Formats: sequence, C-alpha cells, structure tokens
Amino acid sequence: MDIKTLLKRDYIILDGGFGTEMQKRGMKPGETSEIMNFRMEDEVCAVLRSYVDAGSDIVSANTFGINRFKMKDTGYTVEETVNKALDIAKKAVSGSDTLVALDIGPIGQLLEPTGTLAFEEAYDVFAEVIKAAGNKPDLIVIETMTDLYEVKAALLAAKENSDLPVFTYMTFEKNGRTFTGCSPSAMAVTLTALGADAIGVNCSLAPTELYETVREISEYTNLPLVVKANAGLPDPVTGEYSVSAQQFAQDYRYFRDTLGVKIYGGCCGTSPEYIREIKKILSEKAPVKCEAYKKLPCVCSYAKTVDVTNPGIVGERINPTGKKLFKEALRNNDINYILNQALEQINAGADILDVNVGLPEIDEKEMMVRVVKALQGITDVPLQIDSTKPEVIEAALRIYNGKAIVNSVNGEDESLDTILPLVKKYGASVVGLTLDSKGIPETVQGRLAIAEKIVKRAEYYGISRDDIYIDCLTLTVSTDQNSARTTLASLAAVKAELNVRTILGVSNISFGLPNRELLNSTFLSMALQSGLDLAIINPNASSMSGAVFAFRALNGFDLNSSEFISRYSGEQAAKPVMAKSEMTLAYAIEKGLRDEAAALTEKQLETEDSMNIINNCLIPALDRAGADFEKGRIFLPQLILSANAAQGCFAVIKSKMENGTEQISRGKVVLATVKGDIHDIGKNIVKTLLENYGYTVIDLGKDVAPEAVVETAVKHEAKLVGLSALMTTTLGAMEDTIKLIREKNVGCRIVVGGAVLTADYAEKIGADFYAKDAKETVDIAKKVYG
Amino acid sequence: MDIRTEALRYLGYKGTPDAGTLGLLERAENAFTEIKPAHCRKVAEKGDCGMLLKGNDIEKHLEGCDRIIIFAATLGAEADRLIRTAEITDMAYAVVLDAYASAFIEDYCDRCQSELQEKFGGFFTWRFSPGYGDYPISAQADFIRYLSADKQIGLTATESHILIPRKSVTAVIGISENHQHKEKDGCESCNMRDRCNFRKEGKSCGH
Repeated sequence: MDIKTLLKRDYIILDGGFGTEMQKRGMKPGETSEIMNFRMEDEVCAVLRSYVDAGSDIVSANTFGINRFKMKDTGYTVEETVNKALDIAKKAVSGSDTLVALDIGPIGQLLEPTGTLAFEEAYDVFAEVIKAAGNKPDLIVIETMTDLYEVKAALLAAKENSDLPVFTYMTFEKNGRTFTGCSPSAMAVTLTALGADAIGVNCSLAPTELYETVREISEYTNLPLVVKANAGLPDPVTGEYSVSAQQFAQDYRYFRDTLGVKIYGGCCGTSPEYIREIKKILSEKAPVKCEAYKKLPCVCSYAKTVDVTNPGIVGERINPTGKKLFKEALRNNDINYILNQALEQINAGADILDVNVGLPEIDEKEMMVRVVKALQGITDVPLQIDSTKPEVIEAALRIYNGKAIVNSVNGEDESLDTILPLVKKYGASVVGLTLDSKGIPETVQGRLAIAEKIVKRAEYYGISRDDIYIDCLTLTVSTDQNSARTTLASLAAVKAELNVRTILGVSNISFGLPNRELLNSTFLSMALQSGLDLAIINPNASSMSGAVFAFRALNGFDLNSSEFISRYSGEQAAKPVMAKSEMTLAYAIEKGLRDEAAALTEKQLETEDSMNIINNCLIPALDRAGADFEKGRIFLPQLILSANAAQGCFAVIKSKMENGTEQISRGKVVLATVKGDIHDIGKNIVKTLLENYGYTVIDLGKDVAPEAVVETAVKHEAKLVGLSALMTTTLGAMEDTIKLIREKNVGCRIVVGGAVLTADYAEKIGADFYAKDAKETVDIAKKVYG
Repeated sequence: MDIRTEALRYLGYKGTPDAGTLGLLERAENAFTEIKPAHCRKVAEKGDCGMLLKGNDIEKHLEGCDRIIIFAATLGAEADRLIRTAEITDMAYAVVLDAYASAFIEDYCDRCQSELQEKFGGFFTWRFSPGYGDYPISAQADFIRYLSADKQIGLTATESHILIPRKSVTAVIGISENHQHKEKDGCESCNMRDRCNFRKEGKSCGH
C-alpha cells in the first residue's frame, strides 16, 4: 500500500492517543516522550503495533516533539532521534499495510508577533526535522497546532524539503478559535491554498464539541477532512477520560453522515479500543460525500476571512506615492506611522489593506517584510501585497499569515511567468491589469483579450478563476470622455465572459476636473453596478466608502442593512472643535485636550511666530506637566495626554512651516529594547514622550541585536541612544550592546532604563545615564541636546 | 479590592483620578469584557515535585505543607493584541490598559485560588512565582512542561524565560492541613526589593 492508493479509498483510519498509552506502560507525566525512543523502545513499538492491530491505516512515529529546542539538553540530536523513532515505527508496522507518518507538533515557543520566535527560524526548525526524516516516512503530519503562522512555516518546510503528502490538523477551543485566535475558515482557506493534502482538527475537545468547527472548515475546502478528537476530559483524580470508546464512535457518525469526513483517528485519552470502534462504524457505512464546500472567492488573515462575493473596500493609503510624510516615515523606519494609516482605514471600513512601501532609496524588500509583520501584529484585516518587484512580492507572501492578494501582474509574458508561479506556490490571489507593452487598449475587446490571456496563463499555473481579480484600469475622463464607459463596459465583459472577479482604482477618473470627489464617488457607484467586486479607494473619504456601504445595503448584501445602520445611525455632523474663548493654549496642554490645543495653536499662529509659540508656550506647559508628574500631582496617563496635546500643536505648526519638518526637530534619539527582551511598553512610553517633546525617535523595536543599534546610531548620527530591559535575564544583552557601541567608537551617549535597573547598575555596565521613568529620559535628552 | 482600584494603584493614583484617566479606565473595562482568561493546575505531593521547586525561598514558603498546587493562568493572546494596538494609536490608553490587564490577571488568580480553597480545604499559602526571591525564573519552562500549559491554555515561555502571552502567571500554592500560614510577607522575598518605586516611597505594591 502506498499513500496515493490509500487516499483513493472511501475512508482512512489513523491511530489514537500515544502519551496516555505510554503512561499505561510506565512513562511518568512530565517526562519527555521523545526520549522514550531510546529509553522505552519496546514500549513505543508496542503502542504503535497495538494500533496496527486495531486497524489503523496510518500510525504516527513518536516524533511529535522533536526539535532543536527540546532536544538541546537531552544528549541526543534531532537527526538521530527522528531516525530512531521512524525505525521503531517501521518495525511496528512490518508485515502489515499500515503506513508511517512523520509526526510534527508545535515548537513550544510562540511565533512573532505574539511571541518572539521569527517565522524564518520556525521554518528552519521544521526543515531540520523534515530533512532528517528523508524518505523514511510515507507522509508528514503536522498536528496539535494553535498558530496558523507556525503551521505555514511547517507546511512550507515540508513542501520545500520533501515530496511527501502533508496532513495538517489544528487544535480549536470551545469558542471555535485556537489559542492564537485562528478561525476554522481562515485555517481552511490558507492551508488549502498552500497545498496541504488533507486538513482537520485534533486534540482539546470531545467529538460532539468539534461539530461546528469541522462544519465551518468543510465549507471552505475541498480537501479530505480529518478528525482526531479527545476522549473528553480526564477525571482529575482517576485520570479516566469521560467519553467511552463506544460513545466516541457513536458521536463520530455525524462526521461520517453529515460532514463527509474522510480521515478518522483519536487523540488524548483514546486507545486501540477506540480505533476498533471507529473501524466498526466506518465498515458499517462509508462516509457520505459532503457538499458543504461553498467555493467562494476569499482572502483571509489568520483570523478573518473576507468573502469577495460581497463587494469590498481595499484601502489604498499605505502607499508613499505623492505623500511627503509617508516617504519620510519610510526613510526614518517609522513603522508606527504606517500602522496608524492602517488602523485609520480599518475604522473607516476597509475590508482589505493594500500595502505598498516602494521608495527608490530604501530596501523595499526588507521594509515590506517589516511592515507586513507589524501589520499582522495589530490587525486581522487581510492584506494586498503591492509591488512591482517579484523578490519583494515573494518575501511578503512567504511571511504572510493567511491568504493575500498580489497586486499585480499585467498581460506581458515576463510579468505573468515570474509572478504567477509565486502566487500559486504561496497560495495567494492575484490582480491582473489589462495592459501590456503596447499600453492600455482603447477598446473593450482589447482589454478583454488581455484579461483572457492573464486568466489562461493563471490557470496554466494552477490558479483558479476564483483567485483572479481583473483590473480594467481607469483613465481620466477629462482627456477622453469615452474612457469611463470603456472601463465599465470592459469590467462587465470580463465578469460575464471570463467568470473572474474584478478590482478597480477609481480616483484617476476625475483628474483635471473640479469637485473630484463627486465624480469619483459617482463613478464608483457606476462601477459597482457594473459588477465591481473590490474597490481600491481611500476609505477615509466618507463619500467613497459610503458609496460601497450604500450599495451593499441597497443590493441586499448587507443583511437587514445592519452594517449601514450601525455606521450611520446616531451620527451627527462632525462638530468643529471650538476652543472656549477663555481657554489658553497652556491650559489645553496641561489638561491634555488635544483637539482644543490644536485649534488654539492654529489661532495663535495667525498673530505669532511659530518658534515663539514653541518656546514660550508649548515647552513651558510641558515642563509644568513634567514637574507635576515628578511631584506626584499627576500620573502617567495624564502626563502622556498632556504630551499628546503638545504633539497636536507641533503637528499644526509643522504643517504651516514651509521648509519641511526637520527644522523643529530637537534632535534624534535611537531607542531599542535589548536582545531577548520583549517588554517594550516602557520603551514605547519613552518614545511617545520624546516625540511629543519635539525629538525625532528612531525606534528599533524589541529584541534588538547590538549590531542593529550601532548601525542605526551611526547612520542617523544620533547623539543619544536609549536602551531598555525589563528582565534580569536580559541585562547581559544590555551590557553587550553598550560594549559594542563603545568598541565601535560611536559618538553617542547612552541612557538606560527598565524595571530591574538601578543607577548603580547602569553605571557598572557603562551607561552614561540612568532614567527612572520616561520623564527623566526627556530631561536627559534635553541635557544632551542642550 | 476591585480591579479598577487596583489598576489605579498600579498607575500611582491615590483617591479619585482625573476625568481623563477615568474615561480611559472605562474604555479598558469595556475592552476587557472580550477577554477570556484561562488557567490550569495540578495538585501533587510536595515530595514528588523536586524538579520544580528550586531554591531556599520556595522551600521556606512551603514549610508545613504536604501537598502543593502547581498553577498557571493567562489572559491569552487577545489581551496582548489589544495593548499592542493601543500603543500605536493612544499611548495613554495603552498605559491604562496595561495596568488594568495586570490587575485583571491578579484578580482572576485570586478567584481561582478561592475556588481551589473551597474544593480542597486546608490552609493555603499565597502564590509564589518563579522570579520571587531566589526561585529562578528559568523554572517557567518546567512549569509549562509539567502542566502541559501550552496545550491546556496556550501558555509558553521564550528562551529568556518570558511568559507568552504576556499577561500570565505561574505559581506554586502550598496546602497544609493544620498550619496557619502567615500573610504575604511582601517585600521580603521579592527580587525587586532594592529597586522598587513603591518601596522607595515607603509603600508596598501589595504582593
């Protein structure tokens, strides 16, 4: 028997619990089961053999926890342990038709952004195990995963280092999510697109508690489904599990008859007896082919699935084209600026965010990866990767946690043949522009022909039509009044004849005409009526996002108009911020009234020079807030609110100044939370305050290597570097960073802070200053920059 | 003490805070209705847990106890995400959220401990965690392995022994049949005692 033949059968039976069976044979709880391959070889073999005898078609070798972290202090290498475990499993199945799986479990450390393990390192950890196994196993099983990102790392490692089929199971809780928030639909969409061979669930819950989760998965995939439930919960005293073998198999009938699950096994608490019972119910009646798969065009993040049968908004604001502040943020590595742009668009109703960080003078690939990772840390809105460079697209797709859209390919062979294979490999969707080397065709037929070429080529590479979004391109109506009609007619033709989705950026239409917003939103409504699926717009412009909300409500996509109602009911016309006549700017800052402070600054600028306002009003008000904080009259949230209000004033002043923003920067400060440490809220508070006091902060984030600190301090010629550490265990890394700065003769002063530091210790490790809180860091910056 | 008062104390407030901070606190309370904390624990004979109990201070803490509870709790990944997002848009809110989350997990642990007390009877010590006194922070990994806390509640530790999700607690509680334990000895066994801002002001954090 080989795996391909096995997959053609009506059903497949896996094995059951391993740990619980080993404990029956003398393994103690808390003992590392990987070591048992050496210490209890016969027992490991006997457990697996008992499953072979019970009727398992596939048994998992005892490789679940083998990885470089867990094997570190055991005296065994990853390679020898994997091979030993596989040899035992091979021995256990000898003389039978049963196949052996290389079993891969979670690494045991959480990946970024929740944890600290980099995606790339997780990939290496899995690749090491997979390479060690070689062709010994018949298939690879990735299981008990709670983080979709980790599954992706493992699945990529499997696909790139092995030809074996891969089954992937994740572990869901009663709320229908995994611990890291992954939803069943996002799991199904992502792993199906990435090329898994079977997907499903294992562990944590009893069969009946998994019905809903498996049902949702079945709607989003056409792959064979897998269920390996727990035998309920163990009794805290006796250790007996609550669901008997007979009951367990009875409960599995629902998977067989209603959900069409093809692959069955058991997890914690199940034994060969459970497998025998499962075999009984399956030989009584084979699983019924399930028709639940909805075959929807969708994209997703780790948690959120966006179904594009309902017209959606792609936010276009993460793009430096024509935006001075955005360009400056990219040059200064100011990721927060970009994240703010994201959150603003999401609040305004963006369903998907386009991400473009191309700027000639920066490393676009590195920036794209940083931005995508940072975005994944704060939002579950799916992303559209926007770049002209294949290497940037690939880097982003690789680390994207979900199913993204690639923006874009065009009708040129070179574009199609370099980018479409990436789209397929990483399981993305793709935008196809109806243009080629000859430009944008003027006729509907011309654009349709290019669209058709793109669709055919995509299908050649194995990309389904549901994953193609054709952009018929918008040209300005002021130069050719036919252009709007041509675009709309092309859009309708593409939908009708090619059965793909459409996407369109609309704002070009109004170029060179007055009241552009009116033209844009009207054109958008026309495009929606012609069948537009995704509108690339600035959702912050309420007439644009409003056109989409209204269209959804009027067309019945927005059930009971509930989205529309929740957005617009109780809405009042935005109140202009009216500063009370008696309120002074100083008062507004001290009370942390940001809007009022900004309005007052605006007013004061009419009569007063900006530097005067800064020196005579802003800075003294901030100083008073600082002094109040030191005396315990106000506390941290209030200090930050005051500083925030001051920043609102700075922003007003900056926007009025002609010669850019550098002029009123009081100096550059590089900040980093040291290597190994991830407690960065303190560092972030310092950053906020420094910025609010007018300093430019280059924020390197958390878990920062000494070399990166040195490199950045040199590049920006910063006179002050701030380092934070919260753990006694990471103080060493702080010391190393200071040493390297001194060694490399970087001409900067160093301030350190963090809960476990003291002034004495700061001096001992060679820092110039110790700051006990954020306020003191600002005082030190003042000292350094004068 | 209620969570709000405790959060305000972490932020340094005494008495009634200003309206701005109160508003932030209310937002934090609302946001936390979505947060579902989880815990796991095992009860064991003290003698069977040698590998978990390192250092003199934990030994002193468990004097007179026959059984111990190995305990772990977490607010989960969503709480981290909430704070991380607030740090981007509104740092004052992030600071309040962070304090609220710390107060929330402590309160949750207190409630879990009361339930356990009811269930097991006897006298309980207060919760003693890795990092207190000479109890090494590296014990975090042992806790997680012993409890299968990664599988049970999604709790892990990094190579530098930081618990993830961030708002999490691991602790040992001692149970004795007839030994009345002293109240929390506060700063005595705290590894922060030399640098604690509360202590510098002659106060205590309440632990």
